[in-house]
Amino acid sequence: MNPTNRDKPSTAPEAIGNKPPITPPAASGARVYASRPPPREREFTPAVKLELERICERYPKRDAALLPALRLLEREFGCVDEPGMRHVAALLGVSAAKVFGVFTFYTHYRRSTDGRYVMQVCSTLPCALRGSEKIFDQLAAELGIGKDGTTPDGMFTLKKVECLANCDMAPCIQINEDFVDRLTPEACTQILADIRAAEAARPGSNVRPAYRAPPQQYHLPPNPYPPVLLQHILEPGSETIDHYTRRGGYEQARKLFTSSRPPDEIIEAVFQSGLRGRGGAGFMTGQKWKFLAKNDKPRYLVVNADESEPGTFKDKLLIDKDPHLMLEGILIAAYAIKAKAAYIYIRGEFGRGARILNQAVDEAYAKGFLGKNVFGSTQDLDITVHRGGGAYICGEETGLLSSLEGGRGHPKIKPPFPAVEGAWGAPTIVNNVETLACLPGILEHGGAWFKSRGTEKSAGTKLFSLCGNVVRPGNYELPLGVPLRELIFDIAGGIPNGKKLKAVCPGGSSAPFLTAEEVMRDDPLIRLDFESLAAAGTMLGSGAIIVMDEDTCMVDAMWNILRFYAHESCGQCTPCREGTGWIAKTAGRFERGGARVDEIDKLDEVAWGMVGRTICVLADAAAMPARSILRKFRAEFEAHAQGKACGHDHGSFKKLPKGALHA
Amino acid sequence: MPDPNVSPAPPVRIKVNGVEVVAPPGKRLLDVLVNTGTTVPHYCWHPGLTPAGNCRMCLVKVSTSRKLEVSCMIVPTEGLEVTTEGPEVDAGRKAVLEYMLVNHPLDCPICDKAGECMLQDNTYDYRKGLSRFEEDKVIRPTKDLGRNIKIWGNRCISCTRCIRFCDEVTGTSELTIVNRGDHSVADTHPEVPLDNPMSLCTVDICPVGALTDKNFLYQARVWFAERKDTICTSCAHGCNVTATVYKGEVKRLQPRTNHDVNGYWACDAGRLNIGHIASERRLKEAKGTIADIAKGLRDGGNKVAIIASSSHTLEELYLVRQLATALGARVGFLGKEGPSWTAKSGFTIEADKTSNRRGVDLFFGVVPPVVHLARAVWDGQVRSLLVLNQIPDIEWPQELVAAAPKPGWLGVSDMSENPLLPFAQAVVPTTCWAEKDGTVMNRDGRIQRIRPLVAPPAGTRSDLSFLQELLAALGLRKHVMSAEGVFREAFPGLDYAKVGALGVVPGASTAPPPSSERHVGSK
Repeated sequence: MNPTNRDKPSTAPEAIGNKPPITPPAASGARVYASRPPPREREFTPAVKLELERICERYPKRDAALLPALRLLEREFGCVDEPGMRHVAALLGVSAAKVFGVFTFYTHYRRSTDGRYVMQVCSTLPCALRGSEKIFDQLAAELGIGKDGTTPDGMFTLKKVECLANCDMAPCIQINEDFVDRLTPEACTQILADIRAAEAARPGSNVRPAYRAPPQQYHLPPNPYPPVLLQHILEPGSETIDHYTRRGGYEQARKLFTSSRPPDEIIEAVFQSGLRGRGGAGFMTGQKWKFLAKNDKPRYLVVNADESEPGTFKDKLLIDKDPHLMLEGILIAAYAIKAKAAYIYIRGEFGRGARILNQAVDEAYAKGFLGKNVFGSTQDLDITVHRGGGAYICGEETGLLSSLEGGRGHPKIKPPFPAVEGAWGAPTIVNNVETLACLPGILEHGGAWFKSRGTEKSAGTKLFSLCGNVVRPGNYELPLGVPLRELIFDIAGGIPNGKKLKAVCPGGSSAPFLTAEEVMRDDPLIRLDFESLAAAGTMLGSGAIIVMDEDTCMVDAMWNILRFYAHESCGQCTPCREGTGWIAKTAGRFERGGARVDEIDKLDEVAWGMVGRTICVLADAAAMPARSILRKFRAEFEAHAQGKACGHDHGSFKKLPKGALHA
Repeated sequence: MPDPNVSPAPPVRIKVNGVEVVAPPGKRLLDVLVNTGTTVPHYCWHPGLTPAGNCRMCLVKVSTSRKLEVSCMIVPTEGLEVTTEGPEVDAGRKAVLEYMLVNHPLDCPICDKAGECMLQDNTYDYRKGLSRFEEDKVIRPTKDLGRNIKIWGNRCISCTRCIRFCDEVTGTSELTIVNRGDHSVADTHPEVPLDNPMSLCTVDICPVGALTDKNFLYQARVWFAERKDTICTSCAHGCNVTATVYKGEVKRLQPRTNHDVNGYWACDAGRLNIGHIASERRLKEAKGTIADIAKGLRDGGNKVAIIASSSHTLEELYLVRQLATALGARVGFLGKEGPSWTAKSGFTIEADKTSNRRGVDLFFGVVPPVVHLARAVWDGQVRSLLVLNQIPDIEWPQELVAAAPKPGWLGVSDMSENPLLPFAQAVVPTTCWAEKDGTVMNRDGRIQRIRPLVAPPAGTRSDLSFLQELLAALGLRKHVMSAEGVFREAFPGLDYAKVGALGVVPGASTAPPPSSERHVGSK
């Protein structure tokens, strides 16, 4: 076991500012994991109750501290259980049912039935393409349990989870909060042995896990295009404020806050730069800021760090290795939109990222870059890091807001839009991590500089997360407009093992799929920018690019992503709740060979029937790629329906016996 | 108070299917459509709750959007054009219905909601039974959610009406949706059951048969049953209710909408207070004739007392007054008190557990508590005592029970066995509120009609007819009239037609009640 700096408490001193930063304290007493029998009541110590109070103060309404409170239950009692939920309900002034409903919505909270080590095997398409099924099978065989099972000694729980935003390291798992990269079945055996050895060396049931996986190592694949956002990302200490300020960081924010530039001028500058949202929607950032309602309500800036679109892993890199770049972007955006409070909503699975962000925020407070009188100006800005609980739909901006407010991640009916009525009913801007990270550069070098890269309507550089069957998966920062085939073949090394390209999903799994023929075509040449991909009937989306080789069964691929959407549907509205489950099950039946040819059109109609009739576009995100696969790879579905082998090696995916329901 | 300097927002003119409609400002489009007679199927919307917009059934075409939008969330703006029929809207409804039936079990043969189920009706109208779903359905548990309610998880459509009810009306928030996606279902925290004084309203508003009333489970098929409107008499609130009557028995009460009394709601205690109607404790054997009773009272001379109850109808109280005045009798009134409760929305359950205290005030003014009269009886000051009770499950005052042997003559009229009977020279088995016509006055002074729901047990008679025959035997009355006849005598200028379906406050104008919403077409 390698000693890590994760276990050291933060050394940031008490910060200057109105609200002190949240510094997770070091070990606060005994940590009890799944004690048997479970107690009938739970109560925090006075110190933890005080900690919760300080968390509550960071939100305009107390019940917004519900998700952080669930993490406190995890930390103090080893899990979230029923008495714990009642206790938190009483402390926050909400009903026990509310807490229970929130808890059951999310997948990442420890349950009282979880083993000491929760082995979460990522099973979504990018990991599946690189053998995640074999990893799961290996662990299941060695542990002697199935999906969602727990070993009788209470040591291990085995789960399949959805995309962990770690796709260049596929296949990967998460053990409790730690990522383990590039697994092989042999490595699985070794890890289990290491865990057992660590536990044997330190017996006792009421202590935290003895084994921590070594920390992830980051790398960037070689890239001929010069980096902008990623210039310093792998330098040692790049995540510290000292490193950031030594390379000129926070100068733009300092100049801005100590100037008397009208905020509207910044909005206009960002608008003129052509910056478009980097999270998936690609909406003009400056335009979104202009939609803010003009009234007396406070304004909120909310950072969408809920990176969950399958295939996307760029924000994770920025957060873990250069958080101050984004923090400076937050400062600039907050100045422009006159927000005094910003919330970074980070997905629940990013425990390490949340720690790093909290550390970075603490450092900024300590230097007076946050809190009261930012940079000695008359303006204040508080940043709060808010961890999610594990739900893709919390990447949808109003689902995120519902979760930030302390609820289930239910998207809200639009209109009204968040810029008019957002968090707690106040005008709110939700921006992606990468979008905000672009702002310091734009302020330093100007909009013309930003526009000098990219295309006319897609300005600047973008991080593309390339994954799947490709020789060099990873994050590639490219000027918008580079041809897709150039990235895959000229930059990233092409398809491994001499295989041919079969399909590409160019914008995260919510984008319609492209055939190899479309990718390789000279005319129209598909470029990585918003317009070119839209013209090709797909979209740029988050910039995640999933590459599939000739051995990929497209029926399997479709089933895989449809299972994802069925798992992630929030369940509010009828077409998506029922429709995503339906098409996933039918796709599974196709994969097993139990469907009929006439059901291909039915599947298409059922998918299409959800579109335009739902509260949010998760239904569209399921339907559009599914329909594209059905249309472009129809022959494979027909082969499956006719009981013929589809001609593809199912080594990447698992062949299920007839009659089995879900993998 | 509205600011007199600011004129109220004007109504909004919109077009619905080409026809101009005036919409009250601020109301949701679906509300407007439903109240102007346009049928738009829906599940999750309810006029008494904030809208949720999740069932997607109320999709309509509007001029402000390219795609169909849910009418329950739109607040119409001037000039909005709405289409609620036609191929595009129909296709949307059909699609939503097909999705809704994907995991919904084909439970109609065993489901209580059959016959009054919106999903059943809409499926019949729009889909003619066709579904293309061929997979296995999700399984969700069937279990108790509390004392009165059982949830059939498979049937739940996650409309959240029940959750919003507990959040917004009762303020008790025991319900939530648990899990995600198609495993979503309504549920409580495992250790905190659904337990509030209005919990059965969630069963009324559940659009499907997911939430069921354990007291009504398998009791009746609603298409074989009759619905009869009446007033709940279990407290002074006087909530309007509708009874479901099957094979001559009251099987359940459900609230009837009346915005001047109970809104859309009723409480559990009142609606469940029906067991006494068909109870075995009902009195059936009379003792003594009318003539005996008249003689017994005359023998009391000027030492006669009459004890009635504050659940007697206005007609009956009027006759009691006639009798007491003629005999110079002292009067007292049995009552019943219990816990009161106020919901977050303001709905109250009154501490006064009788239905017509205001009626007593109206006819008799301030009357000393009945225990004073009981003590007078104990002290021998009463020679003839007539006791009439209409309060089911009353707790008889100890003083009265102890004093029962004292008078020379005791007559008792009651619905069920009571501790005074062993000492009574005359016994009149009488009907209860569910078996007679009449009016009662609620805490706000509103006169409302009760109606007979079931036939009274053999051998019983109403106090209305008993008192009139007694008065006739005493030479104080010529005719025995119906309840309406007596009502017209007691309230010149009013009749039952003016009381209407929703009651009347005497002295207020006889114009229809001000509430502009009649909740038509959805439950």
